[in-house]
Amino acid sequence: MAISVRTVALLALGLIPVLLLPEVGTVLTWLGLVVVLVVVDLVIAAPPRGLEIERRPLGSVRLTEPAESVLTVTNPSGRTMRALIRDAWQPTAGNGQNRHRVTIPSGEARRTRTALLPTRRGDLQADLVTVRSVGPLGLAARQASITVPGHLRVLPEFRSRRHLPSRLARLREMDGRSAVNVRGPGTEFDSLREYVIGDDVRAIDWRATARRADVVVRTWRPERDRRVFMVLDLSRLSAVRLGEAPRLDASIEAALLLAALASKAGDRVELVAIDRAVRARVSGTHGPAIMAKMADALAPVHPTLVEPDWTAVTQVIRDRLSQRSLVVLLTALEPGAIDSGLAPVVAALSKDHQVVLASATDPDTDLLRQARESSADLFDAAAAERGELERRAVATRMRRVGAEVVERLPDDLAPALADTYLALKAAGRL
Amino acid sequence: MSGTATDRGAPAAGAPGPSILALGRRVDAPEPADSAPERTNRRTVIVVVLAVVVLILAAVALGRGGQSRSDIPLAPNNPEPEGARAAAQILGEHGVDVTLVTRTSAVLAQDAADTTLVIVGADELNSDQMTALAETRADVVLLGLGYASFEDLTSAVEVEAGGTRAARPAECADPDAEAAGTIDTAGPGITGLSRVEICFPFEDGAGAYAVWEEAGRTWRALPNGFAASNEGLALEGNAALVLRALGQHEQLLWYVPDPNDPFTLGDEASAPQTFFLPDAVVYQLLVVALAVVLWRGRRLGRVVVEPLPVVVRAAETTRGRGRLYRRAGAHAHAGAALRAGALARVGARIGLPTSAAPDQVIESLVRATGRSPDELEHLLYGPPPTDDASLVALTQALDTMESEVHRA
Repeated sequence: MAISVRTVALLALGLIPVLLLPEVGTVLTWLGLVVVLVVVDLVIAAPPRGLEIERRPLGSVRLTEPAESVLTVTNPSGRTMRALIRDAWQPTAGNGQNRHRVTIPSGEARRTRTALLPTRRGDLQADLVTVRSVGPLGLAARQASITVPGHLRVLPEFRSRRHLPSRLARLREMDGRSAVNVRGPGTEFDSLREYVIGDDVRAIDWRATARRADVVVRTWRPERDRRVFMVLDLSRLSAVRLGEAPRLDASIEAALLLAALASKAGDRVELVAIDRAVRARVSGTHGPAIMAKMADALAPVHPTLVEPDWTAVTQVIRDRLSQRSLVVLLTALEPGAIDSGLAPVVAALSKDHQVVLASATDPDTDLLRQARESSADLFDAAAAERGELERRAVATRMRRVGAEVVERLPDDLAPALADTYLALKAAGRL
Repeated sequence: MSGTATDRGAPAAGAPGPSILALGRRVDAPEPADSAPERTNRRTVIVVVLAVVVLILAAVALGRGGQSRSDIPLAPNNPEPEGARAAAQILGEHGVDVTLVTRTSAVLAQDAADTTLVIVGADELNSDQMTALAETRADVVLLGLGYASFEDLTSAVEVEAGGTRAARPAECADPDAEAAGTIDTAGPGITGLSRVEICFPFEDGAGAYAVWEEAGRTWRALPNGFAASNEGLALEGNAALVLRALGQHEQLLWYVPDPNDPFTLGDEASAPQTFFLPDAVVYQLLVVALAVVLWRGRRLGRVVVEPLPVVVRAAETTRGRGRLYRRAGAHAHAGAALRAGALARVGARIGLPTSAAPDQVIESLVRATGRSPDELEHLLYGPPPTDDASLVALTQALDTMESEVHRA
């Protein structure tokens, strides 16, 4: 139950009789009177527990885009309900005005709409729906909190999609180069056609020419249907906060941009999010549908505070890949990577596949490295410098076994990874 | 509930093994339900809180009405050595109705002919109070007097120095004093007009006790309250004197003046114009305050918590390492790291291989910066810094060298 401001006012009004007749009895009488009125009001108020509340499914929404939580409240009791309804969501769902004053006549239903503006990726949960049913006198209310399950899936923002047009243009340039009919790395046989003046004579297919009266040349196109296998590391180091967001968010942005680019280029994209077990997987989808599927799969993944299990990662990759593929490890490149078993895994994978190691770096470390305010800062700068050197040594070791290392600030990671992909594709190293 | 416990204890076969999430709750753990026992618990808490509030209110109400302890000297409810609870209790056991009053208006309200009025520390009253009290119908006992003037109350007696504490004989005709025989007391003493009977005289002629008739009432004065105190009551004839003096009538008003008494004489001297809230109004205000608490205190549903991500910043480990260097005073170590870092950047800029030998490095840098080889060798491969000052100097030199290379 809850009492309203009217009850307080009524009790304050009791000061008049108490001042006129200053006895404890007056106080008790007035208090008793108010209590009786409150109880009567409570008894007459429509029972909130009897309400039937339905939540319309919210589906999913991209981060920073608005959503709306709609409740349908039906009053099956024989009394009109005057109620204050609170549709509570977890704070990052960004619900502004979530309290609704509704009057529901007996047997009817009303809708409440709560605007949401999510500020975090993931599955945001609705909390209890609280109904405060006010009595006809407005003195007191019966209150109940009812579980109405609901969740809003907030997809990754995919901020890096603004880099997509420029990368697609580069991809088309690479396509256009096939018109030159030059066979080279990164191209595969496309078709045979008649020789026209200007074609490279080295492209003439003599066997086909022999079968026909005309001279026939072979044409080439960039390799297609290569496999791009992305591994999203969800372990301890992906939980680290870089600037305002965890490292995982930068990795997800990079994965989404690469997926968009690679699927446009005709490659087959697969993704596995893994800590000590596989948490999300996208595979077997082609074309534009993959973006929706990826966003949906990546929405609810969160970092876990465990050590990565690189042997399990190798196993997953070996199970999925038989031919040479591009393996993208979205993880953290830390001096401890040698100990955590990343280096041997990269070395082993590089024998069969092209490995790219993408890692978002910390903007704060750069600031620390350049700090010169006091002698204490110099020690921090020295520590940052030492960390850099160690990280660089690890990167060098990775490159030596044939892996590509992409290390960038969180915002630059996605375009840099896309550029690496394009460079590898152009060089025919997929 | 048991089902929930099992679910948490053993994850279903095939589900990923137990892991610590960065979030507060496991992904596969069931949502904690707002179960019925929890609601009942909340209700119990509310009932208990209400009961405690009622009990506190009752205790406060009783405390205001009942005779609680005080620590004012010569108050009838003070059990300390300088209090007078012993005297009040003995009088009560012998059928005297002792009433403690603290306000002049209350004294005037309860004033009656066959009553004894004890005024403790009468000289500290203001003139309005004294004027009002001079008109009472009750017999007056002035208990404990200082050297301040109390002319408005009575002009029959005055306080004098008296003497040190000793047993003193009555040496007067007052029957109460004679019955007491000797009392053990000290100064101040009292002197008065000729109609005033002075008893238990000190060496200077002032007495420790005085009795006189004024306006048809008997006045008594005991300028030193020691005889009536819990400590002094049992000595010599103190008890006899005090109990006889105070026990003249069945009604005894024991007036312990409250220094904050707002009493003043108005146009009508008999109508005390006091301003204080009646208890009932205070109670009503308390009830209203409680209602405000209940009104504002009831939330519309519970507080929703956010399963927060990890808040550790990536640079924490670097900072920790820096602090470690600092605490260990590892100037040499820090200097080496700064040199290596600067060298790595400069080397990348001028195209030196990472495996270049010192000679080669210096040779290239001489070309890039135009400095002397000795200077560069001292900077890059010289002795390690040993204190803050040399570390600062080294860092500045390295920064300058780096900027020169980048400009080149």
